[in-house]
Parts: sequence; structure tokens; C-alpha cells
Amino acid sequence: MAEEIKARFRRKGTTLTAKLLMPHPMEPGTRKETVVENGAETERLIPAHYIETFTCKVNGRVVLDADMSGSVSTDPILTFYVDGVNAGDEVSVEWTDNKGETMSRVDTIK
Amino acid sequence: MSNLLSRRRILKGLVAATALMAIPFKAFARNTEAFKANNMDAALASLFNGAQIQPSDRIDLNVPEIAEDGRVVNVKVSTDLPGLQTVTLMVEANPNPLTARFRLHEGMQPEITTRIKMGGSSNVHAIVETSEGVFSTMKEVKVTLGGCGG
Repeated sequence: MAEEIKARFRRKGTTLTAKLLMPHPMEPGTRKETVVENGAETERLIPAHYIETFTCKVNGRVVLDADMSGSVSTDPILTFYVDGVNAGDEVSVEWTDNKGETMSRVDTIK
Repeated sequence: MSNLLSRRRILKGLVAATALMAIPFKAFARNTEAFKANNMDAALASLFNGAQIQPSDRIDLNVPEIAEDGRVVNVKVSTDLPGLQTVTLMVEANPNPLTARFRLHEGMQPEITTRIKMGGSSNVHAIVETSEGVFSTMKEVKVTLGGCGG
């Protein structure tokens, strides 16, 4: 089970600052690890596991969406700014990874 | 006759609706081919359909000159080019250069910050698509410790 998205939202006037941290291994599928099999050390690829898509909506309308690869850093961070956001607006963020796992959160802006 | 007509109209409508649904789906779907590309030219060709990419000094690509740890390289892209639609990040020397692609919709300010991995020293490219065309800028980042190897 993946960890929850950490988010900090600050509204100044109608401009929203969104700072997100999405805990995720972001394994590109190209890294090798050494494992011991039957007493012998062998190298094998660590399977790919990374966030593929990210979406941010304000009141249900998409403002930002992204396609990512395994070369976005482990535990991706995203910082961005959205205009036209008022108190009481609902901001939702969601990711889906290459294994089909998803994680999302919804915040009401103060 | 009217039965037949209405059936034909429904069929036509269905065909049109399917075609309409297919267009935005294609435009917004993740471009798997571009992500799999193992060189920048192939990734660019796949993403921008051979559109001419013009160097622009109106894109601000903020990356460190020297990154001690290639696993965590801060990147900030902003631009004052009007009509911004997408921001794409590529690391030229990575096995798969296409790193991330952002679509900015109404309300988004033209600035994005994230962190990327670099296998070694490389040019980092920011390519932006606006209503006027495709523009790019790049900067070299020297990496002391690579972030993709084992």
C-alpha cells in the first residue's frame, strides 16, 4: 500500500501555491541489484515501478496533468501556482503508477 | 423509410461521436513510444510530429551547474511565452531522455518545479509548446555521482 500524498496549499488572493510530495519508489526498471541465490551472488534488474500520470483538479476541472518516467526522482515533488482559486474551492490531486496503483487526496482551500 | 433513416442517423451519430472521443484521447494520452525512445531525436519526433523546435531565451530553465547527487537534481522551468500548453523535460544522456511532460490548463501559472534523476553529466532540455509553436532551451549539468546505475 502506497503512502499518502503530502500537500501544502497556500492561497494568497486568488493565487494558490501547491507544494506536493508523493512518496513513491520511482524505480526506472534499469537498475540492478545483487541477490544471493543458492549461495551464489547474481545480478538482476529491479522491476520498473514508477508514477506514470499525475492530475490536479480545481473544483473538478483539470488544471495540471503530467506524464512521468522512472527518471523523476524518488518521492516526486511538484510545486506550481494556480490562479482563480477562492476560499472553499476543492483541490484534488491523484497519481497512477505503472502497476495500476493509485493515490489521491482532496483538500478544501482556506 | 423513416425507420431506416433514423437508424442511419443514429449510426452516423455514433461514428461521429466515436471519432470525436478518439481525438482528445489521443491528444491527452501518455505517449508511450516517446517515453521508450532511447535518444532525444526519436523522443522529440514522436512528441511533436516533426514540428520545428526553435531555441528561445524566453524560457527560464533553472538547474544547478554542478549536481553532487544525480538522483536528486532540482529543476524549475518558467516562461513568459504566451499561450503555454505543455512543458517537457529531457535529459539528453539518460538511457531514456524523456523524463516528464506537463500539460498546463487554464489558470496555471507558467512555472513548474520538480526533481529529476541524471545518470551522469548531460544537457538538460526544457521544451515548451505554446499556441505559436514549439520552443526550447537547454543547460549543461555536471553530475558528480550518477543516479541511474546500480
